[in-house]
Amino acid sequence: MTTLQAHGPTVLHDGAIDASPPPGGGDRQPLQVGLSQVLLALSLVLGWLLLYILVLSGLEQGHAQSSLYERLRTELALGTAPTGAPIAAGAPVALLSIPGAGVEDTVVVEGTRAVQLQDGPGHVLGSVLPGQRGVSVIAGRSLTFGGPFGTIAELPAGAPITVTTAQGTFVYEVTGARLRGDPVPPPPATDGSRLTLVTAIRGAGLGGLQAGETVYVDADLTGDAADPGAVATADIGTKLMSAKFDTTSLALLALGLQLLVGSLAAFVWAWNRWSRAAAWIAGGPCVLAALWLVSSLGSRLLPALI
Amino acid sequence: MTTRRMRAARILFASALLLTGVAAIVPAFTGESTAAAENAVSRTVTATRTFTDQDGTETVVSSNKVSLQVSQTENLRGRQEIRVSWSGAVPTGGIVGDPNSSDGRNQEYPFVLLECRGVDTQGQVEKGQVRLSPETCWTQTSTERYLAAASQTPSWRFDAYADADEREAIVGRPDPLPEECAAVSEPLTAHWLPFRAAGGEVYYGGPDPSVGCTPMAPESDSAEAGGLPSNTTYGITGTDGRGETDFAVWTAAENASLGCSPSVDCALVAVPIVGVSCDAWGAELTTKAGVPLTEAQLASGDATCRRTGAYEPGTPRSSETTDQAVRGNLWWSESNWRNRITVPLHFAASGSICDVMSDEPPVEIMGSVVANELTASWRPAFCTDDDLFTFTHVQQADSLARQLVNSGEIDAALTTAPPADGYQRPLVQAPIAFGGFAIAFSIDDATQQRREELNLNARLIAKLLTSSYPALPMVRDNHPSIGGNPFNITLDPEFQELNPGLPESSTLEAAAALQVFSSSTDLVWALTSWINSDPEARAWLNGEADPWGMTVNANYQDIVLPVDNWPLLDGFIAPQWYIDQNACYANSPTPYMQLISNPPSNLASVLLNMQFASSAAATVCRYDGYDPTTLPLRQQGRQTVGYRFVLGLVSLSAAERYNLRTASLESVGGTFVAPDSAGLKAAAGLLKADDDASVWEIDYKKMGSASKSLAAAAGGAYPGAMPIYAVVPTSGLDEADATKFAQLLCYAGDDGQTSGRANGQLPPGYLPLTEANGLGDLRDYTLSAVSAVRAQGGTTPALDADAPSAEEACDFRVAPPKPSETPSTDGNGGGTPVVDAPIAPGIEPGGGKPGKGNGPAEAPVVQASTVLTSGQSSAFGQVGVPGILIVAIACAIAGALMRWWDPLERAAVAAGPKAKKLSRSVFRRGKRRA
Repeated sequence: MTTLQAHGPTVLHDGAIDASPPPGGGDRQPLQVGLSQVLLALSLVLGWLLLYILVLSGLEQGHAQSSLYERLRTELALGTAPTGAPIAAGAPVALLSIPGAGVEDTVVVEGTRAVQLQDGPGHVLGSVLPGQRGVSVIAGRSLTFGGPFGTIAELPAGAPITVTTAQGTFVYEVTGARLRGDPVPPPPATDGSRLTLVTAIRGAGLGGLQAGETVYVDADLTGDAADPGAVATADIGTKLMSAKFDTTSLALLALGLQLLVGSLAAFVWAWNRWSRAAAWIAGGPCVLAALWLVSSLGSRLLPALI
Repeated sequence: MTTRRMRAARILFASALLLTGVAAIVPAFTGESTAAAENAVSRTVTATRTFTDQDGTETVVSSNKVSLQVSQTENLRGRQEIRVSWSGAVPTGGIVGDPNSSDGRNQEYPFVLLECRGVDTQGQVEKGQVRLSPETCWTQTSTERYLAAASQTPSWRFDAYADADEREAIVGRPDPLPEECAAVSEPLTAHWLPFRAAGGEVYYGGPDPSVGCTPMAPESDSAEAGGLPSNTTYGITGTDGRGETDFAVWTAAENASLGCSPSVDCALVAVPIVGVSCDAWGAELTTKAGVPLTEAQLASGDATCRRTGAYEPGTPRSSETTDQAVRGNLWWSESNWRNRITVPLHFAASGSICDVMSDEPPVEIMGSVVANELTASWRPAFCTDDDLFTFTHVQQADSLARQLVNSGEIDAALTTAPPADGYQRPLVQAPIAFGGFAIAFSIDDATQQRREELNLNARLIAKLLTSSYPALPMVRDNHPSIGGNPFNITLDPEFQELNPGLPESSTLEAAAALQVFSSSTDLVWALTSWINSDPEARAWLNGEADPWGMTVNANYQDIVLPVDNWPLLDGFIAPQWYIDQNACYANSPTPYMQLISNPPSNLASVLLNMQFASSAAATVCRYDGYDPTTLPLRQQGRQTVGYRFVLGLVSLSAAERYNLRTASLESVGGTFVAPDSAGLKAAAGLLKADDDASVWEIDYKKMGSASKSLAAAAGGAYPGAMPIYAVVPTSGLDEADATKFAQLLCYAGDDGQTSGRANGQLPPGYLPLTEANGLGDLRDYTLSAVSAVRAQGGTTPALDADAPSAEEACDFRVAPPKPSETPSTDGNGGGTPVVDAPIAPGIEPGGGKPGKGNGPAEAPVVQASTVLTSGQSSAFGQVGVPGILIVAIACAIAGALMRWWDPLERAAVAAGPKAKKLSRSVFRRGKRRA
């Protein structure tokens, strides 16, 4: 039988304790590292937001425009393009060209809520269709989603605007732009037609990223106007320049965010389990798509004219 | 220099005077013309009926010169009733009780009134409007638009004035006909009159819409089962050729398919039915298959068409069939339609335009329902004026509004009664209007005509409120304390004495209660204050029997008044045998008298019930296919025209708007006073200043007094008068809000006291706060309040303070005036601090500014000439994107610095030439970490 015996008495060191951080952990406080990561992540997110707002959303509108163009072309050929209310929101109603402002064969859709203006310039409910007797109003974005109306405020008087609808092709001439407080021109003659374009005006230089005030550009028809069709009732829910938190968009946004979180979780899981390359190939597009979807839904909450 | 300035100032002052003159004259002219248009429109038409023989000879059968008067056509509001009267029309026969029911269409020679969308013109129709035609006229049911017959020769096919294609066998049928319609019936002849809705939809109506043959407009109600009764009226012309009725006009809010609004023109169309002008041979009539009608068919059809009525004029409908050629359901036939009288209706903009006109969030003012019509008129005027602001009136219990403004949760309240224990917060109660309550009624007299006048005293109202009428034998025989009382008010000798000639009925449960809505309101406070002040009513409430032996319900005996919410105290439950036989009541045996009173939840419900004579008593048990274990008790609902009897508590202004009949109430010295301007003006004489509460209150002691001497002094005072105060804090508001409320008070003290129905004016039912009406003190105090609100110095002006002039107090271009005196504390400690009204500092004349009359005078001229673009702006658009860019860059730099500070620091220590290398190492390291 052996007895357990201590190897020796416990030794107490009374010198200074080695307080140096463990090797490999770096020499900075974890808080600082965490904060810096948060800031960098924030800048990445904001960078994505800018990229989306200024570049990618333009691609999105371009995509929507190409399918709308196909649809309008077919409807014009068949003669089924709308000439009066009721028109479904978001349906194409006219083809707009403003050579002086870089707008070429852009499809105008019905309605001016943010979601409709994501697809293209929108015809304001409650006004007649372009080309018809009376005042027709079209609103468009100036900065995001390709900014189709970005430079219309600089159109000189007399610049042509061409609109094609089911009732024919109409050429308008710009009479001038006006801001808040400027006098509204008198209504057109009983057989005349006016087209008013609305957007948010952009400044010059870095101010080109600012679009805070509405600007109206009026144009009068040069030829004969068409008969007005039925006019829809005005959409009083529309506030062109204020953020609108409607429950539908918020609900969709919540679903989109869930999708984004889910795809991120899947990406992290794949990152830890699979090879890095495989994780990138499988997860990257998913995360990108979810991010794009969330951005697109989220931008519906922004003012419609910007 | 100075002299030149002085001269400039003088010139400006002179031009301001001139402009003021112009501005004063121009509205005066337009005002006169609108007033004239508002008061009455009168039109005349000659309506003839002719018969044409086979050889073409025409005989005039009747010729009537019909004139129409309409009481109001401008500034109409939704559900408002206008008075329409006519003369010279053919007397009506085969009369039905309710001229608004679709059954009225089968009367002979009714005077048809319709609301139609569009402009009635031969020429060009203005843009955005439609041409008025029968197809844009509203009817509630499809039977008023669709005629089908198993005969080849209905009278409408013989209409001499109709086009040939309007006389075919089948007219106006939808093409293709939906299958369901074909399944319903296959008539030999049919006339369809589609309804064209404002949105562009076409509703064909057609046979039996309940089976879904063709859709009907959503507002239509072919079963006439409930909802708003139709406004289409088959008016009854008396044997003297005269008739009159009240016509409820609808806006898009009540009927979106009709869609009338300030921007969509509508008209009242009166079609005097004179009968079809018959011409059997004018057009080639064929059957549906195209076979020409035989001579015999034409001759018999012509004979039918030429009939002039089966009923004697003025006789009620019996079993006999009316003659189809003179029925009201042919209102659209050209023979009748061509005689139409079209009176364009113009609607006032409603508060809903504020949502579109203004992008600023509205200022919320909470409280009194007595001010509803006032705010409905002022609100659109405020939000469309750039110098004013947008506000909303949240209709809430006055007591809650007072409590919330006292605790600072809301910024302003509209109320009548001061709180019992005063306000703890410095504020001012500025009078803005003088309105009142009214007892509205809809009662038919013994001849089944609508009763126009009713006298009530405080005791009768107390009897109704306290559930002291047993209403039905079951209650009389079992209730512990009210068994000896008459069943209802119509059997009460006191009521009969005051209102002779009304029919007695022992089954009218609606006549056993007054409809009072259930939420707290100062309407009830004022009503019970008056009852409390009346010695006879108070004695009766205390248990003394009235001269006819009626006693109070014991549950209410010695009730403490006033209250602002009428309590339901009677807990009598029906006996077991009643519960056993009434399945609905058995499901929830609630106190029975509470079912009879069954208070509606809000004032709007009471108003609807009064306008359309609906009884609120929830005592109806209908075995209608439901599970018997869940059968509910239902409200009695609409009463039959000719036998109506409902009473309700409403505000005076609402009674004016909806054209309700209002009772005269017993006033000082026992006289009965109608709720009109004279009655209100006399009541203004009974206002007494309450310096502790800083308000004027009606002196109910005097109101209830029977003294003859007082009656001589304050005779004819309407007991229902109620001053309305805007309660606004005088400390704690920021300058922007204080300015807004001051603007509101300025408006209330000046422009807002012009009587009229246009937006921004004082609607009927309120007495203007003017010197002439004896309310000059109240108006002055409102102006004192303006200064106190603008100054936000925590002071409350004294009631008798010297008031500043409107120009001084309401000149918003100068800084808010500062009160000069310090508040003197009240000895009693009960009230708020009181000081004399601060007086706004005057403007130095010639001090470099234009004369002060300049601004107000210029404004209307500028507004009249041009419209200014109303832009919108967005803070996000202004700073959003650049802001994101800057934040992103800042975050990137800060994050990078924090992350790689050490290597960078080391690099800074190291020599310059190594910088390049170091930055590469930083880059590598960063990559590794990522």
